[in-house]
Amino acid sequence: MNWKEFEVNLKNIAQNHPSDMDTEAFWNELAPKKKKRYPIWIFLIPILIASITASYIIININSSKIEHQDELKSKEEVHEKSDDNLITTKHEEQKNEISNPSLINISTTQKSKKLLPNQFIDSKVQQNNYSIQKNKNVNYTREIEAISQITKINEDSNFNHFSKIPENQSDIEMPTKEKVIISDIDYLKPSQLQIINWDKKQLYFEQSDYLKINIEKKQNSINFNFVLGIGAWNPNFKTNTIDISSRNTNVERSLESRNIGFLIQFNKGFLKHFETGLIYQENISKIYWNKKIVEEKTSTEQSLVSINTYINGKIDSIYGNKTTIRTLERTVNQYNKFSSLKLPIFYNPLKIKLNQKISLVPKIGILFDFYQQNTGKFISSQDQVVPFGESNYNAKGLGLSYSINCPILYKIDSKSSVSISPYFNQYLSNVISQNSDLQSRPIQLGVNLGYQIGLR
Amino acid sequence: MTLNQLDITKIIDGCKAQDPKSQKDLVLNFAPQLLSTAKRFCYDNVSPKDILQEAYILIFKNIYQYDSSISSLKTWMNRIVINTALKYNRQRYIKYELLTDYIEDDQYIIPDIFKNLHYEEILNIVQKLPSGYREVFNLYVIDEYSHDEIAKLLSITSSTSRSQLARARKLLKEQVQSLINELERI
Repeated sequence: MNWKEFEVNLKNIAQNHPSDMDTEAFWNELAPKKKKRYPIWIFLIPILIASITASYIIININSSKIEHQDELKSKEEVHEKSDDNLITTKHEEQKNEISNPSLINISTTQKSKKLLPNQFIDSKVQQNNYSIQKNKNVNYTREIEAISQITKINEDSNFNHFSKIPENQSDIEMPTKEKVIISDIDYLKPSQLQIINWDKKQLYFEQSDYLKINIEKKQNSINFNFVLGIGAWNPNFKTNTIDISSRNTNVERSLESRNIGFLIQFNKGFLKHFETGLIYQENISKIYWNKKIVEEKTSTEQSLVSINTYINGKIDSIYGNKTTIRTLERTVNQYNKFSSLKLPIFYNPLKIKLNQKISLVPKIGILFDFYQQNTGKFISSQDQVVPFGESNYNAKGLGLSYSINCPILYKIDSKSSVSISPYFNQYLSNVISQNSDLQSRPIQLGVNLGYQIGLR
Repeated sequence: MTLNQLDITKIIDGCKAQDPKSQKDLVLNFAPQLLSTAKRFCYDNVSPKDILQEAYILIFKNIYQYDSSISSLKTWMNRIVINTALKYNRQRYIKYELLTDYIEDDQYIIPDIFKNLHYEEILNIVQKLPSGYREVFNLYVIDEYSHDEIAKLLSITSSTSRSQLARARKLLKEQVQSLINELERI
């Protein structure tokens, strides 16, 4: 055959020769990792919980208001207890308590103790920040912390609030069991006191509904916690795309994480252990890396060195061993933004009080989020190599992560406090798809600063 | 497994919709042939599979640009593999040019035994060519690029492409001749 036929033969063989390869394995390397798909209801649950809770709170607050209004209407009616066991000091009702403050006469009998099991009893006022004086209103301006044997207020019975005249505290029977905190009783007017009981050691005054309303109002309060945080994150660069690990010799990374958001906590029953809200988080990675390789290679085969002459249509050439010097240098600046809008549900099982002002509230949570990755602003010395071209790559999706927080709370006053909260977050789900530079489960580590305010 | 035009259209449509199953089909059906192409253009220190992997990423990314009225899918993908390989090569060797002509000798006779060469043997012969010649020879003879296309692709003039092809052919003939001599000696 002549040369042309030989070339055609070469072409046919080359064009129709599939190489042996494990295509399945090749596809597995190339294919995006499958995302775990979560049913849509998983993302609806927190929204549903938040809606139900909000409705419940709103309904309760409204009913409390109605109850309180009813009480105010009937407050002029003197409530006389007919219980024989109740040996009391009567409070003289004043129609106009401001212009003519009430007088409080205190007397006692031993029988008053019999009342105790049925009342809100055995209490001790921790702070002497109120006064009950003749001709003066009873004025509570600060938090009263009481300790009671009763753990739950029985709404069906006419319980009495309790108090104690701050004298000779050593005589007071120390209460046991559980603490009940009643805060923000702003102003208790004598006219609202109906019966005051005194058993030599402690002063009890019956005032069922007024305090009950206050207690309920306290329980229905909502805490808003505004958070602002900074930190770092570990995006775990994939080695099969950017290949940082094998190619680089000089890498500088800047991996920032920042977030802003708010959390809501309902101070009612078991809900006070939970927080939810919205947090926007941005994770930034800036990477600079370069590599320089100088290789000198002498070929074992002879290569063309020069062409000497052109005689009779033929070229005389000199062959020799070729030495190739290669210098490769690559520099890459990359900017990668991974942002997400998170819906967290935190659970704080306990509050560890270090002192009157400072407490620790460790909490764990799961965060549902919508994320978006923007990878861009590539500047490359060799932009022809994938993926170092300019990229408009975006990844979007729904993610799931967990979080461990340990806020340290500093109480400013009864309504507000500030917090500093170290946090650790990690994605549980795949959040990155094909062609991305990131691994599936990035980690964030940082500190949140918070300001918490309680609203009724 | 051979694919009919309907299957190929289905795969293309699926890939345009970024359907992983279609992308997998595209890999399973075409990767072995494309790997052969990558092998022809790559050097010792580059894995043809790396080239193929990057080429497939480009294929998935740009499949929406594919127009079946211009070329077949196989040709289109083959060109992407070649482009990817050439981009790799551009950083990896020092190219030299011959600005001279060479009179081709079409009457050169080759024994028919060379018809039965295996792909690996052809690859072995072609791989021995110096890099610049090899690329032009591959592109012109096997992949059916024109000299103008080659010139554009390699950033050279078409006359340089012609002269390099001629030079490649001469060197190949020498190699073939040495093989013939060896065979005769045996």
